[in-house]
Order: sequence, then C-alpha cells, then structure tokens
Amino acid sequence: MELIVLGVSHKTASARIRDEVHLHPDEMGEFYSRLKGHWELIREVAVLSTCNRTEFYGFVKDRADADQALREAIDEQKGISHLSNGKYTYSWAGRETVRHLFRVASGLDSLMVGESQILGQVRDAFEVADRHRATGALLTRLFNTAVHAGKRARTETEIGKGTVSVAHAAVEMAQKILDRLERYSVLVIGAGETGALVARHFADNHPKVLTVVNRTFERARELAEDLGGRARPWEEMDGALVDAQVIVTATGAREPIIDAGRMARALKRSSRGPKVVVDISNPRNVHPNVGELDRLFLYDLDALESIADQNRARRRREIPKVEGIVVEEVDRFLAWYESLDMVPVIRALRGRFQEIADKEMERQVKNFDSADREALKEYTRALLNKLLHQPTTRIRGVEPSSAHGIHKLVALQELFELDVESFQRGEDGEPDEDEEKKGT
Amino acid sequence: MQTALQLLNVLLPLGYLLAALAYLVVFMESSAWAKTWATRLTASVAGAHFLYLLLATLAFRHVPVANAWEGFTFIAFAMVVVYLVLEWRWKDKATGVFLLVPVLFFQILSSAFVTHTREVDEILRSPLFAVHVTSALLGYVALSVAAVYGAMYALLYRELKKHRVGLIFRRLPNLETLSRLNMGAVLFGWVGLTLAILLGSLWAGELTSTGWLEGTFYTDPKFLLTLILWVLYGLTLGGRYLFRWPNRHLAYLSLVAFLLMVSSSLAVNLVLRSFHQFS
Repeated sequence: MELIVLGVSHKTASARIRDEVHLHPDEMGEFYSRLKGHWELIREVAVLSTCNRTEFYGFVKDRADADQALREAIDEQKGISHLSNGKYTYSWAGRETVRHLFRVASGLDSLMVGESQILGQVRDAFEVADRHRATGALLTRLFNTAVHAGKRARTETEIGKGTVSVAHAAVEMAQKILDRLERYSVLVIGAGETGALVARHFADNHPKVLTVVNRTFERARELAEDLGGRARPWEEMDGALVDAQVIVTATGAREPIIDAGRMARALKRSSRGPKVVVDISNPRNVHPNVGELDRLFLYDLDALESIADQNRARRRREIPKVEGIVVEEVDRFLAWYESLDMVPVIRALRGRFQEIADKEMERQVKNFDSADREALKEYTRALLNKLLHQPTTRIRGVEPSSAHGIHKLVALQELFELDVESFQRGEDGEPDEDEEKKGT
Repeated sequence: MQTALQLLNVLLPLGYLLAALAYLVVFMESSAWAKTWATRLTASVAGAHFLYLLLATLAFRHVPVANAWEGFTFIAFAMVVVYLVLEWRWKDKATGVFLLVPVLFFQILSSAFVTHTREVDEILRSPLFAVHVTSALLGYVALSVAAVYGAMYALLYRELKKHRVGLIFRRLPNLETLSRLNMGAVLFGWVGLTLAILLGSLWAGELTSTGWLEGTFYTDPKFLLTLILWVLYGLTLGGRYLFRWPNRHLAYLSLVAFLLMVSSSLAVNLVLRSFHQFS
C-alpha cells in the first residue's frame, strides 16, 4: 500500500486548464461515486480542488493502476483529457506526498506565498471526503497533521503576516495610522470598478460613515447603496474632504483633482487627527506634494505596491523556517505511519504489559521472602505470556497493508495507549516467540 | 522585617526581569499567553514592590528616598505604576518591554547598592513630605514615560511617511494609540506635579513659620524648574484639548520638555543650591 498524490496546479497548468479540471463542491459526490468501483485499488481518497490546484490524495494498493484510475475518472466526469495526456500533471508517492500536502497547507506552494485561505480549503477537502466515506485512519491522520503543520507555520513564523495585495495594503496602512476604522469616516471619490474594489475592503471594516462622491451622482448613489454608505454630489467634495479621515481616490481624471492647497484647506477645517489618502488611480488624482503636508499620509499605487513588495520579501525570508516545520511534521507523521506494522505494535504491547507487571512487582515484593520472590517473578512472566499469547497470534495474522488491518493496529495503539515509537527506539528485532512458548 | 526587606530586595529585580522577558515575547510574537501573563506578573511584582516600600518606610520611619539608591527603587516602582495604569486604560501591551527594561535597570542598581539611611533630617519623617515626594516622583516619572511614547510616535510617523513596513511598523501600536498613551502619561505627570507643587507650597509656609526654611520658597531653583515644567506640560495638554494642535507637535513637545527636565534637573542638583537638598 502506498500514499500517492496526483495533481494539477498553477505551477503546471494555465488558469484555463485548471478551471476545466476544477471540481466544484456540487461535483464531488459524483466523483467519489465514480471511484467506488475502484475501492479494492484505492482504499482511501481525498480531493483538494481550489482555483489554483486540483489534487487527489490516495492510499492505494498499486500506484500505477490507481494513478490511471484517478486520471480516467476525472477526465470522464469533466469530458476532458488533461489528466490522461499527462501534460499538466505531477504525481508523487510516499514521503514526497506527505511533504507536498504539508507544504500546501503551510502556504509554501501557493501562488501568493503564505496566504491563509488554503488552510481552510485543506480542512474542507478532508471533511467533504470524509462525508462521502472515502477516508480512513491514514488520510484522517495525514490531513489532521497537515492542518496542524499549517497552523504552526502561521503562528511560529511570519509567513502569513503583512498583506501582499494592493487593496488590502491600503486598509492595513489606514489601520496602522487610525486604530479601529469603526471610529472614522471613509470617503471614496470615483465610483468605477477599481474604486469599488478598494471601497469594499474599507466597507468590510465597518467605518463610521462611508461616503461616495462621483461626477455622475447616480453612480455614486448606486455604489453607496451597495456598500451601505451615502452619496454626496461632486460639488460637495471639499466638505467631504473635511469630514473624512480616510480618502480613496479612483477617478479617470487626466489631471490631479486634489492638490496641496485644496488638501491644506481641508486639514485646517478638520479635526486634530491624521488623514490617510489612498490614490489608486492612474494617472494620479492626488498631486504628490499632498504627501508633504503635516499629519497627512499619502499612498499612491507605487507606494502600495512597494508595501506589498516589502511584505512579499519578508514572507520569502520566512520560507526556510516553514520548511523546517514541514520536515519536522513529515518525520513525525512517517514515524507514526511506520509504527503501523505488526512487529512494533506487538513489541509495544508486550512492553506495556511488562511495565505494569514490573510496577506491581515492585510494590508487592517486600511482602515476600527471597525464595518466594523468584517464584513470584516466574509466575508473573508465565501469566503475562499466557495472557498475551492469543492477542499476539491474532496481531501476527493482521495484514498491515490493508485498510482494515491499519484500523486494527491503530485501535490497539489507542486502546492500550501504546508508545510504539519509544519501544521501536528501545530495541530491535522481532519479539521473542520462544519466550511466549515457554509460558504456554 | 529586615529579613523580609532583604528577601524582597533580591526578588524584585528577578521579578522585573521575568516581566520584561514576558513583554519582550509580547513585542516579538504577540502571543496571547504572554500577553495575559506579562500583566499578571508585572502587577504581582508591583504589589511586592509596594510591600517593600511600605516595610522600608515603617522600618526606617521615612519614605525611602533619602539617598540615590533608595530613590532608584522608588523611581522603578513609580514607572511600573504609571505603565500599568496606561496599559489598563488603553489596553496596549506591545510597548511594555520599553518601560519594563528601565524599571529593571533602576531596580538592579538599587538592589545592588542600596544602604538605607537611618538618620535623616526630621523633616523627612513628616507624612506630608511622603505625599509631596510621592506626587513629585510619580509626576516626573510619568513625564519620562510620556517622552518614551513621544519618541515611539515620532519613529512610527517617519516610517509611515516613508512607506516602510519594517519592525517598527509591525510591532508598535498604531499612531493614534501611541498619541493617546503619550498624552495619557503627560496628563498623569501633570496631575502629579500639580499635587506636588500645591502640597509643597502649603508646607513651605508652615516650615517658614517654624524657622526651618529661611527666605522664600518661590525663589528656590528646584521649585522654579518644576513650575516651568508644569507650565510647559500644561501648555501641551491645552494644545491637545483646547487648541487642537496636531498629535505630532504634541509628541515633539513632550520630548523637548523631557530633555529640558533632565538637563535642568542635573543643573539644579549639581550646580545650584536648593533647600531641596537634604543630605
């Protein structure tokens, strides 16, 4: 049995191809149903499908056959040949599969390094697969550890810190200057597409008042209604500049509509605090000399792009730390995975019982004289061997490569709280069969 | 009581060291766990510090400010009280490390070299003196804290103007919060100075009548300096609440006033003669 991944992502395929491969949540049911005919071959499977990637994680009996079955299933369902022709896909097995998923969950494989959305998408992908009864002990552990690795990456490093999009950068700068935006007024000048996009980001932060000013009043009113704000006529712009603490300009004007003189007059009439001006228009709506005014912070497209760049660079500097976390979590997962073998489980089970017996013996030994102590030891050893003979024989009969066998071994570990890893480290070799026979 | 004093003298720097480390973790990682424990730890150590000062006052029958080393522990305590009040009022913990490090520095100096003065001028045993000196120290320390926040404001302002999003941008609170902390500390300090001046003036009248104080107190260099600072900081407060001066000007004003406070205090204490010199 092997852990495999087969996928198409932004690294191997264009947006059009990714879009054609993408499995919408509504299509998941059909996909998992299609795979039901292959349950003997594909024991567990989960699909992670976002706008940047579609990946199939599987615990399979035969890698080549499973790979082919997955490619055919998706191509048939979507009426394409992108997976069968092998041009856009990648596939890995074993350790590389685990590493890949953990890197994906940590945001290392994302188009925008460190983006946080992917972590929720990994979690959702597992839940959907689980709802369709396509997962088992192995993928459950794999996805849980992936989510854990993703969380660690974001809390222990700065991979997810600082915005890398221009629109978000505008909001972030305003928040760094003004505290909570709920206490301040936002003015949006221009009701075009770009203005609406940035205005929406500010509206999400629930400013005290959101005002839209536009040359065509009707369009200003439409956008204001959409954002839960109010519209003011173009002629009232000076008054609006006085009232607002955050000003976003995004008009198609060929010349600056706000210069230092106009802004200075507005500052004089407004409250003591700072003002933030975000100019996302090209050519600029705000003259650069406005940025020289006291208590006024001007961010044009160049400035916002430079802020996003600085954050991207900082995220890139965090990559080695996150890779370290990924390696740690991969090792931990693989140690668990390797413990799903009958030999270490038998050893851990015997070790656990022996520990209990030793502790009891230590407590009781003072009640016996030296001759009886030897007899007591012998009696305990024989009792343990008798008690464990039947379970040991049964465990030896388990097929660890089957999903059913893995479930049994996992259940045993949980039932007796077995620390398989420490017993693996402690001694090597098969458990002593003769020892068991001596006791029977 | 002596044993308790000696024990606290050792424990206080250790406690402040842990508190400063906790605030350093808050500054570097913004961890929720550290945020909770930094405040709890600092408040507990401040409680122990209050006990230490109380025991010292009872043991030596005067507020422990009779020499420089005693004064340092008092400054450390005043600074931590001012910080805790500001943190409680504006819920900001990111700047704690900048205040706890000087607190730790003053407490280490005091713990290492302190020798309590037993024989002091009888005037220092007066309860009125205790209130007067406590208000003055709290006032001066709060104004120093205001300068720290003023400096942070100036630094962040520069970073924001230059579109830089480095460590200062990421770790310090936003400009408006820094401005509130700056002005909160100025207000705290100004109230402390007001109390100190009022009590000192009333008391000086009494001392003149008993013959302890010769001449007039209002020509004393220390009194005059305090009065000038009181006017300057009063102007800063007026600038904020009455004249709507920009926050940046207020931050700079608090920095200038602090520099004036330090330089003139040195001059008054080292060069000029004042009846405020008791030893």
